[in-house]
Amino acid sequence: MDILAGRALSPAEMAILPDQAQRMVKGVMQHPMLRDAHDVPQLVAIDPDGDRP
Amino acid sequence: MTALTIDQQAAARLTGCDAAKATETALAAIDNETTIFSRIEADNARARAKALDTLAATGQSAGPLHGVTMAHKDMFDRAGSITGFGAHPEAGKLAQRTSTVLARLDAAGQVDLGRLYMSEFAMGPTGHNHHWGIPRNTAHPGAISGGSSSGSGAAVGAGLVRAALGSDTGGSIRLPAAANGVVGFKPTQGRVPMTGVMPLCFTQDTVGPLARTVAEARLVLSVIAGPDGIDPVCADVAPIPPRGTGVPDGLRVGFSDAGFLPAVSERMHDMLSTLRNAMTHQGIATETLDITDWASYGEAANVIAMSEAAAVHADRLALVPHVYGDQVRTRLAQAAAMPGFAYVRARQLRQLARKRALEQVFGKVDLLVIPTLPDTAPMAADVDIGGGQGIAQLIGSLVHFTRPINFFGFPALSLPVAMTEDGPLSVQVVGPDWSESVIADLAQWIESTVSAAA
Repeated sequence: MDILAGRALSPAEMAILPDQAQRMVKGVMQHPMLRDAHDVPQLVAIDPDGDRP
Repeated sequence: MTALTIDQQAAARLTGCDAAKATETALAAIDNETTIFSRIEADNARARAKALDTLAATGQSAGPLHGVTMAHKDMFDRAGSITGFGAHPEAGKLAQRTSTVLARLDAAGQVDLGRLYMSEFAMGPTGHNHHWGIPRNTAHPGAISGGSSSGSGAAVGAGLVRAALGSDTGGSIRLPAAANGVVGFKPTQGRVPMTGVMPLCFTQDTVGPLARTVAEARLVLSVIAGPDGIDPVCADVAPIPPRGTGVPDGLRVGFSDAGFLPAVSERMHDMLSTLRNAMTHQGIATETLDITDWASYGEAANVIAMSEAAAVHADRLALVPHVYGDQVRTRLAQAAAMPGFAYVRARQLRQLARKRALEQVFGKVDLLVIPTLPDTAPMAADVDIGGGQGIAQLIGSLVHFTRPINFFGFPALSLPVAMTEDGPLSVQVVGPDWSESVIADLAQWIESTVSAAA
């Protein structure tokens, strides 16, 4: 949490932040398209700019 | 207030050699617009107008924007001037070089009147700004101005300028355009160079115009587009013609089925049906498509956006945390709880999603028409929640129709199609990479059709 160095989160922010972040991460990691894609391991080696136009 | 189009202004300034006079009129009109203009740069505008009049006196034109008064979101560098980012005054920076987009508008003849308010660091779809408040909604008083190009939408909506630049990473051109009843054109990611533009999320950031009409948005986009030899992402593709040529024969247009339209109002549904019927009557082929999956990419788009934005802001957040407002700080803080592998997976998901969209949508139709917002813009007081509970849900609902387009990197144009007692209704015309010209062709046809029916 060094990104927030010098200014602590408020109790209200602390209460919602981890939950929101976890929901977003879960939404990525458990996305059905990634689960169903057999070529995902190969994507790891692909040019990281390959997802851009 | 100016009712003259960009073309009419440029022609008048050239033949009348009166850019200076027109600039004085424009400066007088914006003098009291303290919620829209963050800084009026009158001396620079006057000097520029005088130089243009001198040029015109020799029979020469600077370009298609000769003497046209404009103003832009406060995130584009101009050498010797402070770029404010819509942030706390301590966060601004003195620019050493002029951004490519402003340099191109200058070369085309614009008179830049000054800086427009924006959401803090271009983060926030409502237009609320922790430090500066919210620009007035010019189409429905009390409603949000939309963000993050809030001042751009309001300036064009109020008729203070015919066009203004904005940026769009999740809907930030199209949402304020929709809220203020004007046109917003988000180009393909990589169409417009980002040199000298404040970064937010480098894989989804785009710069484009908000304008009074589709033709003017196209013209301004054609001026700023194309590689500059500096931004490595900007692609060397066929340029956008500055003028439209009408809807091409054989155009196929897609409309979403109910799966992607869960919260759309009845009057928006009716408007989509009206547009589709008009197209059919015109001989434009239409098709219903299942794009329900487009609603499933919100988390991935957010993981990418917040991770990249946190990388941009990490040093400043650590050094001067007090300059950040609650909502921006709360959103950036989310990145601290997102592991690196989630960012990589989100980028991988983007590849798969783009491939699917190109095959299953733009393999069947040339363009897609979807809403910009589910209905009219909400009232500002109802969505002023700062960094509190419900922020993710609020943002998610506002960007439901815009964020997937940034995730794919596709171009899209938002235009108003109806005026209600609660403000304007707007739709987007979306296309595959580099389809801006045909998007503008269809949008201009929609614009004229709607206008004729009103």
